[in-house]
Amino acid sequence: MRSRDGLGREALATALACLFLTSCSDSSPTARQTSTPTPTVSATPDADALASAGALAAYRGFRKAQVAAEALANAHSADLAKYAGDKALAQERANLLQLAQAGIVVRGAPLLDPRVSSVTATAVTITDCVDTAHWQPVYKATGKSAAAPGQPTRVLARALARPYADRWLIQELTTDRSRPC
Amino acid sequence: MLRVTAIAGLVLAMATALATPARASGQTIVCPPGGTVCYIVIDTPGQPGVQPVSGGGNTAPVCHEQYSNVVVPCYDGTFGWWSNADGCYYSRLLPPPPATDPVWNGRYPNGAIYQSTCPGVVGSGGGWVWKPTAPPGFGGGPGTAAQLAAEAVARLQLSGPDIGFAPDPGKVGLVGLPVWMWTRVSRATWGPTSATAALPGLSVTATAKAKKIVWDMGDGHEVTCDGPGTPYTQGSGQTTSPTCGYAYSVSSANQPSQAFRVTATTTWAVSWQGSAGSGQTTQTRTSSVQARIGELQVLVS
Repeated sequence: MRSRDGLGREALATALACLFLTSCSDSSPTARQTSTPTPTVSATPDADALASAGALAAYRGFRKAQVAAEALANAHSADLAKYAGDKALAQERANLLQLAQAGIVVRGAPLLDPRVSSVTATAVTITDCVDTAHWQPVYKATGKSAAAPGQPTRVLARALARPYADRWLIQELTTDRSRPC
Repeated sequence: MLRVTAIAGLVLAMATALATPARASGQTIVCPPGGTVCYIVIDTPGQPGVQPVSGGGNTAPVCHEQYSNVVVPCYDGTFGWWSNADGCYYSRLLPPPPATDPVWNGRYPNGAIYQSTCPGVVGSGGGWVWKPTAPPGFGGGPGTAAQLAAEAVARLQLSGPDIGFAPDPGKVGLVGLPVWMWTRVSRATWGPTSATAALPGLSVTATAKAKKIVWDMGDGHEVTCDGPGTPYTQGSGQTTSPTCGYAYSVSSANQPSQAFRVTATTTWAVSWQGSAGSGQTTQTRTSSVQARIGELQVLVS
């Protein structure tokens, strides 16, 4: 069921992302979608829809790169920089260096539910309720959980994307751990 | 064993304070900004972030953590060039972000945008920054290329002549008879030879070729030869060297050890080239040999 998705907008955005960008793949961390919406593409997609599609593609691409990098605690992932820049990239690299130094890797993948919450031609904000139940840190040596206890399994993430070269980049990514979603 | 219950309360407090590490009995809870799950880092006493690198020979331009002497690589293939000034790596964004990006703050297209990555502390910043000129240390800085050039020159392992001398140093020559001087030619004694010194992202190659050998014959005279000289063979008899020769006019009887100390100095032309520039230098290397020269009447007496 897609009861928590912004149905129309997301369906359009996903379709556009598949049309105009390249990162629609089955191995995407997004596994929540259980039905495949029929792509409906208008003949002249408006600028907001294009921006949204580009930003969502960047967001999903970043999450996928993040999952792969954190699974290895690999701060030198080249894919991260394809989808993220600025603070979002710097903080993720610092996080990965910390993980590597602590001998921690993050296994599994999150369930994503990203929605565009505001759009201009030069900035798109995305909010996502990230389900981390099956995306958890473990000590590489022992396989035991490295997660601090008592944390919510769903956290609200907010991403800011801006256009860069021929694509969009996630430039800021913040998490509000205190707000359940 | 993690003391889960002991730190459970801390986690709640941490939930709103992003990325401020909390310490609890040898463990640190890290909540990376933008991350989803806080994790527990088990502290290892004295654990260095990066293994200190012992300097080998020439002291390289030391890149170190901002508030410690822990050495870090000056260049990282992903992160770019280290700046000691703020403990961040910088890589220049190519292409630059569009003029509409707020990072320009009205200064487009002046200066450049760099992605900074600051490994020291999670959540310590890093991101795009505008710089009118390259940050300190970017591209290795002017000092790095010179250091690398010196290292490359050292690796050439230039030597003085591998001296060939007739009459043979084990024998006694005669005043007025031809003396032949040469060096046995090899990469180390005459060149050409080259060597490279490199840091990741930056390399310098030095090339050297010998130009001349100045022979100080030990009797107050010098002979300059523009080539390695010609080796003497038995068939040469009493002829004069076609390229590099001499004839003593006095005996070495009054010298220490009854021998002239012959000193041969090779002058090398060295040029170096690297991604950060090029240059030239001259190097000299010296070898010596003993020459015993007698007079005929001394020998027959």
